[in-house]
Amino acid sequence: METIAVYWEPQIRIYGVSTVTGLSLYTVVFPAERMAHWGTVIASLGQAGVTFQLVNLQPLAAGEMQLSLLFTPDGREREIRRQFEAGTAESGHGTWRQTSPVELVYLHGPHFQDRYGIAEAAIAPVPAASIPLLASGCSGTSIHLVVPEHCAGKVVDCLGGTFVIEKRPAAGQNDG
Amino acid sequence: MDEHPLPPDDTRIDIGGIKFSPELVQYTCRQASAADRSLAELLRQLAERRINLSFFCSGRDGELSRSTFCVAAVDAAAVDRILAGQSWPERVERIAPVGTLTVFPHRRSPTLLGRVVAALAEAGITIHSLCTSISALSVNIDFPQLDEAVAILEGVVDLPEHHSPFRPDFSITQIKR
Repeated sequence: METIAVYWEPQIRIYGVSTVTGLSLYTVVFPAERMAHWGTVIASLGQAGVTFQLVNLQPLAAGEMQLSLLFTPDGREREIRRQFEAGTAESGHGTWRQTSPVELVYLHGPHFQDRYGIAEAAIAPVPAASIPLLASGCSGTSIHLVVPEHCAGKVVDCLGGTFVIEKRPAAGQNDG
Repeated sequence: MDEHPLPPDDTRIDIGGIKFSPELVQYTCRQASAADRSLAELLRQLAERRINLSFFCSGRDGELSRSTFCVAAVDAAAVDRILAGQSWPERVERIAPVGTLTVFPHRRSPTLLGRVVAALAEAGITIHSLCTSISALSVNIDFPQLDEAVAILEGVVDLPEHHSPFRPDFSITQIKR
């Protein structure tokens, strides 16, 4: 059975937007054959009580993978660094780097994963406004944009022309 | 969101469910220089042709960005035509067919995420990309291996007793904006 429903909106409506400041972005580059090793390292962070805001993984050239993990430091930065240092201690397991502080803009909306044009609407305005996009994720109904310190408010402002944003938090406000 | 801590290592983790996507094609595009705006142009053309990206993520490789996205297999020919018209086909990698395995909820804990990754990789399932949303973990693997992946994850997660089918029995398509 096919059901066709028609709905039109002049501007993309979203359920809400939040900004979170004071986060740490860890980027790990490792050979694809070390995937299980890094899965174990990530799991050990969970046992240490670390929580994440965003994780993504994508392929690099030449059989390498890039893992981006956005964490709320929460007093556990030393433990995170210790795990990454241990994870890369053996030659050939990869390299890691930390970028902090960084900020997150998070928006969610109805059926983002089923609607064309959402990624363009969310991603394209950020570099166009000369804001470096450090990492991003659009899956399910969520969009996460990771930007340098003092940039989250600017992102919210530049997305205001694209999305109907009911609430515009100022930069530095933590609604996460 | 459920913020309860997850159980320690060897116990299976209670989850709400697992879903499969339809057959997809994954593309990864790398930026050539800091001034390169080719990704924005590609996204514009995809939107113009009403091609949905069910998955998108990006990261920085030094000063340059790299982006990975998935489209439905039925849309891949149109994406290939767009890419063929660009001057930078060597900066795009294509993997097909892939399928998204969505596991929910992740409770923001690296434990479930890490154990899913480790279990799949140890069993020889290639993970092409992954991304988290507010509550779900989406993992892209070879499409024919989705059922095998669930069988492997049964050693890591506990599904609800009356779990709904992994494959969606309906789809939503936007036809106008």
